[in-house]
Amino acid sequence: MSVHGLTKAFGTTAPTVDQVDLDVVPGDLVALLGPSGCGKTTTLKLIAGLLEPTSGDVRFDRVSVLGVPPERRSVAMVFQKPLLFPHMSVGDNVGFGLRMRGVGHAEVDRRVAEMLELVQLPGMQTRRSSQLSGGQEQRVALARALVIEPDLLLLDEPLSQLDANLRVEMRDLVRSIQRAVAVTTLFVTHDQEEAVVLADRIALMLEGRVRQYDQAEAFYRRPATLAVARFFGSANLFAGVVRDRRFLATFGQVALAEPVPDGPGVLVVRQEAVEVVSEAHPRAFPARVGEAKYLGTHLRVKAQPDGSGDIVHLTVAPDYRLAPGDRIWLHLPPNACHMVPEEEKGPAAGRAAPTEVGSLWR
Amino acid sequence: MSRTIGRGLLLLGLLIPLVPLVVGAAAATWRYPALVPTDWSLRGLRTVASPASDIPVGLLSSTTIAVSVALIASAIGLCAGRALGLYTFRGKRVVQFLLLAPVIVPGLAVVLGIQIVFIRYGLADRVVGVIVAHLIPTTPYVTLVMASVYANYDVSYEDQARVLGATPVQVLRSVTLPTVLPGLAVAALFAFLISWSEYVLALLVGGGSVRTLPLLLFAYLAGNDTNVAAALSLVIIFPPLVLVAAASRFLSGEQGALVGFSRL
Repeated sequence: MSVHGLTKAFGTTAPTVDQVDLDVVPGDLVALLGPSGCGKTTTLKLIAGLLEPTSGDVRFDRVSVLGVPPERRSVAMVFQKPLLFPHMSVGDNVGFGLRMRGVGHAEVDRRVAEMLELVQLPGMQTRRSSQLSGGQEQRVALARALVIEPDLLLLDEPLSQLDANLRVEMRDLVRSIQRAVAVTTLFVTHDQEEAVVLADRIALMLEGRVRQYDQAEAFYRRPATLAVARFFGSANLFAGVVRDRRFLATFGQVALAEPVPDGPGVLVVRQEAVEVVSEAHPRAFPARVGEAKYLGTHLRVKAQPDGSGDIVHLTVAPDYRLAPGDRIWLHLPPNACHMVPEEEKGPAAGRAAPTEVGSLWR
Repeated sequence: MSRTIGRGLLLLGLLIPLVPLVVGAAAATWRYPALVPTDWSLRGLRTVASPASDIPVGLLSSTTIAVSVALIASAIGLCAGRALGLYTFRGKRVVQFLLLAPVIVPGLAVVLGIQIVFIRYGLADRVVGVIVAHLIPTTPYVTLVMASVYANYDVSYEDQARVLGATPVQVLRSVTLPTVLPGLAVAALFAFLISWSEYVLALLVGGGSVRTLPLLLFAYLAGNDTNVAAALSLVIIFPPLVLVAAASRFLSGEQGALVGFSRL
């Protein structure tokens, strides 16, 4: 399945889905991640054929399916709500897609039983959907989608209405089922953790565009833009300039592992990567602890480097005895540092302008 | 206990008005001071049952008209109600008002206007004409009921059916219709009842050659034949009673549709 320059505009406002490109390897589970209202569901409906794109193309096996009605696209979709047909039993719900295709009774019964077993609801055929719990309903909905053996499974936040414990349980079930039947899957979610745990690859969508399409790790280590870094919860975003593969920040210089062109940019460092080192470390810079919060498994620290307005967020082992006002030396390992371009609007969140930084450290 | 008494009183209130009808249907003479008829006779009931009388013909035309009206009004209301219940469109308020208009405007005023048109198009004095005329007061009811049913209807069910491989026709048959069926049944029942007991439109459009049961009833009353009139009343009451009883049985347990219905 692939999507090229997919755009959908409603009325005259900015397009809901804007030039989306996506290429899904058969058998993969791809998470379409993004905040609500970023166009994820619209993208899914465009792929399913429930909406027609304003421009762009949707291809299955390199063949365009534009103009093909949803029932002939070999996709199945599970929505946020289970949407079990209330006038049918569980078995009739699961068998719905097969009956619509004119599959014979015996065959339908056999495959329905098989599917219910797969979603761990064996023998539930005669139940009414009103007798099921939320998690069971969503599992029936999943069985109903899988029973037609689609080439592409579209899941539109199917777990978002379940409570936290159940969600984790269902997440694992979805993953193991997806692996078992090896169906290419596109999974829409706004939950970053869900995407990271479930997906082979993640497509991060912000304001109608796919900003980064990569494996989960890359979103933490190499976010493509400042917005991506922010979405993935990077707290350490330092504005500065790059000169000769060195990043000049308000608190000192940082060597960069990857080649970056000179000019203004924003340095992203995961808070887990910031190291507390001894004074003797050649690349250490001094800072003062502003806040230290004990969180059981670790200590979350905010420190202010000397002579800088930036705040460095870091996490350290819980047995570190750090209190506000303590003096520490910090080090940003080069391979944990990643540069992203500045946002067009200017330096991030009113931090020191790059020119000042330059003059300070020249 | 008090609930049982309440129900008993309600039932009594509904049944007492029927008692004089039943008694009257079997009374030969029943004049003012007498509390019970002085003379009994089965003439009324025999007349009603006799193929020689005009009542079987009236029963046939009333049934034809009411069933046709219920079916046609349901078909129109199913579509119009969907549009009103699910979508917003320019002029929606105007349409809603126009739908209510036949309910507000007296039937007599309407029929005097349309009769000229009906005569011109050859609809006057014919069963078809009466059916068309009866659609005027019934369609609004059906449409309004269906609009409220659709206001509670989740269209995502249809999207869900499509992505599971159902063609639009299959969606209509196996998802949409079964879901709105209880509401549609109530609406169709309304239309049937309105048409069944309608008098003015049937009289003026039918022009005497289409003889529905209410027309016959008024004729017997005008002829001061209370015996036959009472017997005929029983005939008129019977089908609606059966239909309402059947509908309430069919609808019990169909919570979903009744929720929409109670919104009216």
